[in-house]
Amino acid sequence: MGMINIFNVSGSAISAQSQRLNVVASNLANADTLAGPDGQAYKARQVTFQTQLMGANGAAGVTVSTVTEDQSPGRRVLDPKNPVADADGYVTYSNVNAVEEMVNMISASRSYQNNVEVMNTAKTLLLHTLQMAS
Amino acid sequence: MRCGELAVNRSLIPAYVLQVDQHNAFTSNSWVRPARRQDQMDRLTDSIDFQAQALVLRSERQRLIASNIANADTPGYVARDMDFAQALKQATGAIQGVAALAVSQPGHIAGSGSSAVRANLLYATPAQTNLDRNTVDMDRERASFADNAVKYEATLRFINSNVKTALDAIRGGQ
Repeated sequence: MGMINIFNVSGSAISAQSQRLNVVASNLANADTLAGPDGQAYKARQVTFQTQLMGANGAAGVTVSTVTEDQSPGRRVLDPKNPVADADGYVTYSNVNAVEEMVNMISASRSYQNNVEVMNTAKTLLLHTLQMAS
Repeated sequence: MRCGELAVNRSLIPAYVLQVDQHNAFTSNSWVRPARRQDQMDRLTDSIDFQAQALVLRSERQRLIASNIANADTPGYVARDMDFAQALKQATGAIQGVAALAVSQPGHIAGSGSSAVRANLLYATPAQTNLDRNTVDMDRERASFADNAVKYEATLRFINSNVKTALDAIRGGQ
């Protein structure tokens, strides 16, 4: 059954893309987070996709292999009145780049839609196959 | 020896021989006729068989393209597609596929042979290079997916109408 596998393939892609959307959402939510008393601000996260072989002949799904944290320094803003400002009067924001995250979000949602459409087409074809010769 | 071939001298043949011969004729009929019917059934189902092969290949290709679309954002993924005409020729026996590896020694690894699909898998040539070495061209994949879906439906309809034709022939137009 070749076509049944499409649901596994596209399903894995949908799950991976939704994980990516999840990460984007948490990045955007934390875009304006200040560093806490420990001086550590939120670090932007990125998912890495990896091909996952499904079955013997060439069906390739997707899996999220790692979620990495962006290690670049956070945005520093001079704000001496802020209670969490350091000795020099600077506060550290998270290193999230809102523009990058929005682009990432659009890309993820487009890929998600693509895979949903693939599944819908496969479903229609399979249903028609089931009604064959009736 | 059948009754029909002895029609000339039938009056000379003793009754018990005729009886045996008739019996033979009956059994031989049940031996010979099915072979002829088989021929006709083959002719009836030949095109269905062909379309069935095409349908299997179409579904394999559909799965391949689905894999490509699923991996559109995977770094380093190489898009694949199949030479459909070649695969169909191989599946229907019009051309010989690559021979399977012989296993003659205990240490030999059994080759998986060459399924019509796997033997005709090709790599897509990227129209534009990508920074992460991914060669999936989403526009092309979507187009092939839609194209393949339509052709799958077409093959299904061919099968359906072939089956209807065969059933009509069996019912004798009643």
